[in-house]
Amino acid sequence: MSTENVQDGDEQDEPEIPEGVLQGIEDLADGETASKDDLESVLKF
Amino acid sequence: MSEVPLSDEETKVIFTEQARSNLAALDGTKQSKVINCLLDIVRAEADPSNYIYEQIANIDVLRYSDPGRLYTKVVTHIPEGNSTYHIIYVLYIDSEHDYNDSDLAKFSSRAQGVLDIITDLSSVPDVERYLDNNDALGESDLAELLT
Repeated sequence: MSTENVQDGDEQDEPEIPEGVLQGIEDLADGETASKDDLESVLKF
Repeated sequence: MSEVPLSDEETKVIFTEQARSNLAALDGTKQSKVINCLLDIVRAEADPSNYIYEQIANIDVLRYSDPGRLYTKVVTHIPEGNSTYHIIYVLYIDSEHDYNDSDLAKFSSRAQGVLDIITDLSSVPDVERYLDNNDALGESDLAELLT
């Protein structure tokens, strides 16, 4: 699903959320998930 | 005293690529708090919907620290009729909870609808395969991330 589909709309009653949340929804729609190895690779502790 | 119903289901966590990117930007202490927050919820006897800090439309916000928030979608008791899992979809990780206007976007009814559709697993024939295909993490996976 495209960014436009998720991000358009300018209704007054629509809540505001961090823009990255919309990207997260797009990722999920596109199957862009992070594996355990992906997560482990970015950990700093 | 309010009652919290216990749950026999297993809770799984799915991180989006956006959430992974957010996690990468955090320092080690905050990363540890994120993982520990999710692990505590996964290990809890109550289902994860009991740990939602606030809701923004159909987004479920979890709190991992004083300013830290996880923007998630919590889906419980799946598959329907044979409840085996709960799922926490981690969409975005926020560390400061302090935004400039340019960092915010309208959460349109269409976007809300998309989120509902992609997290509706009623038509998924094989939930186990779905979880595997979407890199779902369980308790042991989260615990291993902390070691």
